[in-house]
Amino acid sequence: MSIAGKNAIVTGGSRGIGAAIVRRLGEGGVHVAINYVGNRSAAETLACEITAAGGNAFAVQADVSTLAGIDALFAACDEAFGGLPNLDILINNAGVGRGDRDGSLAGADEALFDELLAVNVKGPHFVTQKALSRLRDGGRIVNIGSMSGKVGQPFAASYAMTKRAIQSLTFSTALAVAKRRITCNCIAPGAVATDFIAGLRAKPGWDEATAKHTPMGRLGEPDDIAGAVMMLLGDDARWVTGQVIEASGGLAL
Amino acid sequence: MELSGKTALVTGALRGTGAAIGRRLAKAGAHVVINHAPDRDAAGPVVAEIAGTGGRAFAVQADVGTTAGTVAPGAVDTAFDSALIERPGWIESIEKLTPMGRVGVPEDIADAVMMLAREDAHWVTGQIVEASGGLFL
Repeated sequence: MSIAGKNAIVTGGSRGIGAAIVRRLGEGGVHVAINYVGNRSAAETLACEITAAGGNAFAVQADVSTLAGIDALFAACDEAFGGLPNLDILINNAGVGRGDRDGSLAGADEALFDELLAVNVKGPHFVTQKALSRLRDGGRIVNIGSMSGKVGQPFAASYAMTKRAIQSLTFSTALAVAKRRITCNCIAPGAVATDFIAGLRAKPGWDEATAKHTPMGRLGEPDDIAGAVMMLLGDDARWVTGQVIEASGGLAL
Repeated sequence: MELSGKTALVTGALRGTGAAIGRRLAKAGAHVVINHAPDRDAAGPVVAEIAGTGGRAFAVQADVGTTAGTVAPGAVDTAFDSALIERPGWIESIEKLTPMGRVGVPEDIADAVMMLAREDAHWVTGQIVEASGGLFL
């Protein structure tokens, strides 16, 4: 199931789960566009790390919550990847949780709601839209969802809504591209030890309690999620599409 | 190989999807146990085929194994659906209904099983994964 030589875009690829996915792709010989919005040094360091190991990666600054940012992302990728169609793998990973703010049903304000929707829903929708004409037959789209899209979360209602929405995007995209042998699936991580959930993890005992709730007995690591993504990229996964697959160590089954 | 040193039990592996799963796991290096209840003789060809390609397999009679994940196939061209397949126009109608535009083959399902058998999938458990080319989305 070689993915070597393919072209991939990972949105939000400089840190956390995105960076773990980028590393796996780089190791697999994929030419990777590492999209980032603010953390230039992390993105460029990662690109250098992959290049130094004999891989092929480059960093692209773009805010994928705006149409202008998405156009800039694809302009840079088209330049690197060449004539259309030029894309094999799209990973819609960029997302925000804003755990530092009150995202509860009772307390979320309009600005927070709009920001979550722009990054987590509008972004993947329009990145996917612009990717359609660029994807080669047999390509792969993986959307990064969350267990938050499965369960009620009054303390993070607007975030949870966005992660339900990406499941819906997964179904529609899968149907839109199926005739071209392109699959679209959603990986829904459980609790993963990244700074994305720093706010939750700051609560005393949160890590221990979550590990206890997870049947596999620990928090997830970014590479656990990257592995689940890799599973969907090979030829073996060609008949699996439109699926929401939890990568959570059994959390909330 | 990816599944070297692993032992896999495949129930109902005499033909169709099960046999394809046995072949696929053996190809990845697993030692495959073919469950053949109740027809021992029918297990012979699958075991022989796997052995003939350098894989390792043997047959046992047993009831069921347990799995951590479920692969839910769509329409697959096997004897399992033979009454349907022989119905005039059935294949054409399934091709039309399936977003990927064809009827599944046993290897499609076996490969989806292989996808979940790999080390990459170690954090994926308790999932029902449809391998259906998008049928019923």
